[in-house]
Amino acid sequence: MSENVEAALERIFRSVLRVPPGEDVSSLSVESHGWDSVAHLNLILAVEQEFRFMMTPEEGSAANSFQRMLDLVNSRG
Amino acid sequence: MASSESARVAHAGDWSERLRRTAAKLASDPSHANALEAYHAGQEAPATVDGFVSVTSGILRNVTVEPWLPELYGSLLQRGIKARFLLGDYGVYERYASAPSELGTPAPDCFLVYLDAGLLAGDARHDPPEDLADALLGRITAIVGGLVEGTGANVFVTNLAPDPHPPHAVHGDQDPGGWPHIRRTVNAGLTDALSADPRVYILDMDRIVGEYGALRAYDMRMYMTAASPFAVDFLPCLGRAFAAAVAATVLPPKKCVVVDCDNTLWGGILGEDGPEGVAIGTDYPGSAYREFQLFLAGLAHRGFLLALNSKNNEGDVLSFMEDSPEMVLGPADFAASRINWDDKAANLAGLARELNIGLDAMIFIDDSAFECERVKSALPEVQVEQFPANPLDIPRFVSAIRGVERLCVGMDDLARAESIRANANRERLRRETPDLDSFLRSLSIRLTIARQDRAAVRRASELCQRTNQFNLTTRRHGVGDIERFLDEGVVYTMSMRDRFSDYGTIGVAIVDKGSGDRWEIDSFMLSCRAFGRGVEAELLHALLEDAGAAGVRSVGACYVPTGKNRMTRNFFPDNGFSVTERLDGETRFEIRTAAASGGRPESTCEVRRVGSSE
Repeated sequence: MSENVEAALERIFRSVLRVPPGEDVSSLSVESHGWDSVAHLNLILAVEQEFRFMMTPEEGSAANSFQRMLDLVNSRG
Repeated sequence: MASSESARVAHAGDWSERLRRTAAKLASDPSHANALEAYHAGQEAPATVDGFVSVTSGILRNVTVEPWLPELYGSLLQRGIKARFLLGDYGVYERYASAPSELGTPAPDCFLVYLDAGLLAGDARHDPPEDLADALLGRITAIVGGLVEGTGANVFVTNLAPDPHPPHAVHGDQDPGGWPHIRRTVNAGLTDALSADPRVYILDMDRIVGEYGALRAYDMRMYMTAASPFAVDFLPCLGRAFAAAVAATVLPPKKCVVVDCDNTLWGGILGEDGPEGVAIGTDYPGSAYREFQLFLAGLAHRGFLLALNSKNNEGDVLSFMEDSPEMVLGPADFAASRINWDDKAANLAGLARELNIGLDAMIFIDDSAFECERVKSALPEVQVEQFPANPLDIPRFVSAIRGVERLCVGMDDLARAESIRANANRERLRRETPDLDSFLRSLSIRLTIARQDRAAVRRASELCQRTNQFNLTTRRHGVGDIERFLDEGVVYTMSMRDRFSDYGTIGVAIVDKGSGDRWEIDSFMLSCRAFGRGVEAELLHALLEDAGAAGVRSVGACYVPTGKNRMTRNFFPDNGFSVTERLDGETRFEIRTAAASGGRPESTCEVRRVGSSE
């Protein structure tokens, strides 16, 4: 695989949350601009599709920052 | 503000290329992240982009459709349609149906109504009351009816989707009062109630979900936690189904399917393997090619023209097609053919000329990558589909061919194809009858010019959408626009018969009545099937006669050049109109009705007028 997990996740966050190139992604959380409930749903769908696993509803709502989503993917993906 | 505006204008030219690249990327990787990125970027595009049709779609729903939008957008983009969506608030669809303007601006060109069966029926699914089917049907048809009456837009409504986990399934399969039966009753009722309306189209969820599989299509977790019923991997299927239906209403329809012979109409190479050696018939692999021929025969029945473009000895192909009992299609099923050793792109151009249709109305199907590439590069307007090398891939290939979707087939579609086939005979007669007037008389042309014919609305709109050459203003009026002209202006439709065939409706003229003493011709067009007979003058004459009878003093008209309609540039001056203004390439004309009737040459056809005069 040419792209590591963190880089793939960063790419997805940039697409879903419309983060411009050069801007930091790793510090994003549900408090950040543009991360609303629809964006959260889209994040879960895109992450699950990319890494081919399903989150429980509890895991989905707990994945409320880039770092927590990364930890979840690393533990499940 | 001014500088950002000019920056946007400066970049507008790049958007065509950018959207095309996005569409290509989505075709190869339709992931949700990719679709989202494309969707976000598309929101920044200008309202109109060259080469793309802009469509605004209002969405009324009782579920969370937000995650679908990127896939709907992406599927439409791949068909050359740039979409904008106006979302109704979750669950309040009935209010928007009675007040569509509350969705926002611009006014939608079409609506998508998605009502989830489980949420619509609620608890009643478990122990359905007797009137449940009627109640559900009534609610859905009222919503659709509200949109049809309150707007001029097309309405796409999904029927009730199958349950992935139907309650009481075994009992329900037997009991006519059970939920599975009720769902089917509602869906059948929707077809009965809505299919006659020219602006309403049903998206059949049994087919769309069934193709993918109900168990896989749903994501029960998202359904239960976020009212978002569908799994992310199913969304492109939903997008494709919606895009196909929208495309069939807004893109100019294809008219002709041109096919290769060897390894396309049959397996193997006729010139090498001989008539006994090629694969066609009821045994595999011939059965797969037979299936393709049946598909083409079905297209011909729905009004498409078929043509051949093959590198072969013409005599070999024709005698094989004539003699083989296994062939579904015979030489007579093809409106024209080029069976020779010439360049296939040149052959296609010749076929377009012979059939009098545009290259952009053609689909070319060939198994050879070389021929496909050759045609793509020489004639980019032609839609090229490479036929699969493996016969097992034929059914999937056939169902994925774009541009052959028609939402409905009118008698006019069939008559059009028949008349183009009959043209060959007519051309022969023309060669035998040198004088044009006596030739036209020998055809026994009978025209019917109808005024305000509401039954011809759909056909009038079709002509507005697809007529390119004899079209003075090329305004692409939809069904809703025509209905408005029927109420506020005058709509003429002209149909034609001759001794060879019935052509159906071949001419449309639309008048804007303005203040009353001056009419303006908004649109005037003639189908290419009726060229060369002088019938356009009959339609114009009828219009001017009515204007005079209504006390109108003058009639204005306009020629808007498009690159395809040059043949019409002198139509109004040739018929007595004077030029009043030339502006931005457009020419405006006027005629005084008092002067209109004099000096007409003797008519070569019989004209019948029908419809109310006021």
